Amino acid sequence: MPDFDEKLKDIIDQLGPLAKVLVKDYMEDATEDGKEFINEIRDDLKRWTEMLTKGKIPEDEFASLVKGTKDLAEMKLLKQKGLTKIKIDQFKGGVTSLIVNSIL
Amino acid sequence: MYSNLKFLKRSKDFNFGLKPFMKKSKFVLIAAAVLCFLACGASISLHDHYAYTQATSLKVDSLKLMDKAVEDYSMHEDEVDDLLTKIEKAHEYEKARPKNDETIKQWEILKDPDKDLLGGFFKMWKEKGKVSQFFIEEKKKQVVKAFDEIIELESVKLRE
Repeated sequence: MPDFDEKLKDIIDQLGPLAKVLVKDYMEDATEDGKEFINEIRDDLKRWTEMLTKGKIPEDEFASLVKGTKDLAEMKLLKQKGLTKIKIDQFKGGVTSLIVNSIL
Repeated sequence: MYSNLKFLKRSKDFNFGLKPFMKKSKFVLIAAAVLCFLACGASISLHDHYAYTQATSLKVDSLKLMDKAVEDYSMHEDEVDDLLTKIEKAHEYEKARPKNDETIKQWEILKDPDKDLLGGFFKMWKEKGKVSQFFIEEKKKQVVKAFDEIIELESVKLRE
């Protein structure tokens, strides 16, 4: 069935570019998000340390703020994991559309 | 026997004409793999408007209550209990949704009194009686970001 084989080959050939587009978008967003977070932490730590050395904030509150950044990083990581799964589902949707459009 | 060996040597293609079949099989195998992949279903829960609304509403309530931490905890103990109950309910709602691990864990980190976001804040307020204005302002920023991680993930989940 040459026609079927051709269609199948066509579908498979389009899978790569589809995956690349989705992954590229996701990587750019994740990298930007990560950079922004690191910049914010740096500024926060500087500000908190100043307040601690001036005696404007007790040690336990300073420690809580610092540890809070770790918890936030975990929250962000969980969001990124969720976004990865969403991208996978979008890819699946794209593949399904490809197959349907090729057959019809 | 020699003629057999000669035949083998002559034939560069040791598949003996099986190449087209193997090529077709490769495509069929790939197609089967793709179909299996598609048949696995969604990897993560779909968007839930109620969950999204709950998260945004609890964010506002939490920040408002945190502002009161300049006063003694005993004056606001009931309000804190009420809010924590609402947060617990939101967490239970998330636990009932299938393929929702990430959101469930996010709520757990947020409300955990042994960590340092919302749950940790209320625990510190309770233990100390009051906390500094500076701490409230800075912790509010962290709690806002924490809620935003939950809200953002929910908002980009696929719709049905």
